[in-house]
Amino acid sequence: MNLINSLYNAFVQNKEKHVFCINDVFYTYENLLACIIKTRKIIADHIADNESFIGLVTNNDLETYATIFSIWMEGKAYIPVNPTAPISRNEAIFKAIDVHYVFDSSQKTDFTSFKVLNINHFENTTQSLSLFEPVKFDDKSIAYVLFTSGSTGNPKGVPISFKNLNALFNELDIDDEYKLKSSDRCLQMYDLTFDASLTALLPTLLVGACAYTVPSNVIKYLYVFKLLVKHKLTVLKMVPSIIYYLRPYFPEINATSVRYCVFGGEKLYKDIVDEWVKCIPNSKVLNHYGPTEFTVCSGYYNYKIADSNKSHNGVLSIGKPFKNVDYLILDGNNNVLPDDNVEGELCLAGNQLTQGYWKNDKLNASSFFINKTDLDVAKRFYKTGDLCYRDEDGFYMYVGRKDFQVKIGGYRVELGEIEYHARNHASTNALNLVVIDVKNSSNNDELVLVIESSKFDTTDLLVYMNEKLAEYMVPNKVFFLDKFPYNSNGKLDRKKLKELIG
Amino acid sequence: MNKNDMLADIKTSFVKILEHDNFELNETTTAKDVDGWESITHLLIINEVEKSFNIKFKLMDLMSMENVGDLMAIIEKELAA
Repeated sequence: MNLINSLYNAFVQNKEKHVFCINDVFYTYENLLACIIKTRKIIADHIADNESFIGLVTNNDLETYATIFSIWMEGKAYIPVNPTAPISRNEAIFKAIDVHYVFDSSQKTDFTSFKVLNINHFENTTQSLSLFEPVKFDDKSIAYVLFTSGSTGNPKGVPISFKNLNALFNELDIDDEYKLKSSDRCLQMYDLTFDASLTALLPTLLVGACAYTVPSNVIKYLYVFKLLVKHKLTVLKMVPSIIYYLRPYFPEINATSVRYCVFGGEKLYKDIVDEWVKCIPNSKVLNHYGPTEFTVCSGYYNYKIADSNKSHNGVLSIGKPFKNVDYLILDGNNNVLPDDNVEGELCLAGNQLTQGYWKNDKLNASSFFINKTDLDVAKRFYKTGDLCYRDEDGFYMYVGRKDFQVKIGGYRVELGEIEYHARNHASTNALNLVVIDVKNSSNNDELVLVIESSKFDTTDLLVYMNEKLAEYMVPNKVFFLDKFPYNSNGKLDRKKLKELIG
Repeated sequence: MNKNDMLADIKTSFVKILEHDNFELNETTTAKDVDGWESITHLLIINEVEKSFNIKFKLMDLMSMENVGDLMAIIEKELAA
């Protein structure tokens, strides 16, 4: 699939239809096209051809969405930054990529050290649609660069090419388990600095359906529920934390309109999904898996309603790879583990794989490697840092992050396993909890259980954990926090958590 | 229950969760006006208000709540139920 041409065709063919509902205002594909034509003219008039990387401040408005497509149709890449992130971090991202031009639809821009273009400050153009076809460009060109947090403290840039994106959408296109239609009403709850936004947004627009966006300054799970009730959404793509928050209210939810519910971005607990599916009785449930380095999604698990489902330590399976994607499991010495049910680091190969981290040879040398497949074809693999195993039926089980695997007194300990047993006790029912490793005063690692709650007596809980776990796996301390720290993508911020209890 | 008493009780719940009292609460106050009132603390504040008034809100009512005045209206509704 050529994604850009397919999007262009979908926009032209669905002009009369709604494309977005943003802050309760509906926009048609014709509105989107008009905004794209205007933005492309601004790019053509103001930005030199050799400027390949354009900054984008991700506001929740039609202009911001139109800018992504405009930049792509001009064969350039967008570098998104979240307006609520610290300005110093956002500027560092733009400087790392050598961005000179920034599209910012905000009333007042923070990016005064760059050349800022605000679509709202330009006159509407009368240019006709016939001049509008996407420019021709090499599919190795970069489509976007996303920055993820790095363990060194400096964000890592992940460039994704049009070739990578086309490969992802080919996989989605040939998959019969997930087929959207033009009458669908789809949730788009992700910030545009999070690549999961692309698998929420683009499948919607490719079929001429309507995307319902969630503003950044609202209580997200309540806003999602509001959209669900008011607009009878049919397709939900969400981070799991949305249903973790809504869980106390599940008995009140009966969303019969939902056809697909897709999770992605964090581990998904099977017991909560078992309850959630009763709220969406007509829906399929898919659990997407994939790192940013592999263009959003490399495969998924198809949850079976009213049947047994694959899980490990209460975390739902991540399923199987897409048809043209290769998975393999490595041991700690970088040897390929051929057998089923042996745990190791999951590695991915295929056309969705990034060309490598932005200007980071050292990290690239340690994160990517060449391995020959059974057919003696050499393929480039990416080490995900995710610990997984493949079961006898070929399903991959998520065990935890490699960096969450710690050694306590010489024993290898998987924090997810301890969390699983802590969650299973009656006293922690429906509470958020996490196990982390901290250095104690004698500089040894010890385990701490942190529970998001006001304080309660944990004697029974610890007795229970002692029954279920080896002695060295039972946390030495329990902390209570009123609220866990999350990053802007809704993921738990473990580093900050360690600081809070340290 | 008069409005001032209710506001004072609501404020006690906010202060307990947010751990500061550097804000004024009135019927038009929204999350934007109060430091730290966001997605995660919202759930905790709601739980705290439920405990202090001994009521349980409906998700339908929480969903359309936009300011403290709306919160007071749904507290009244639950107290009368």
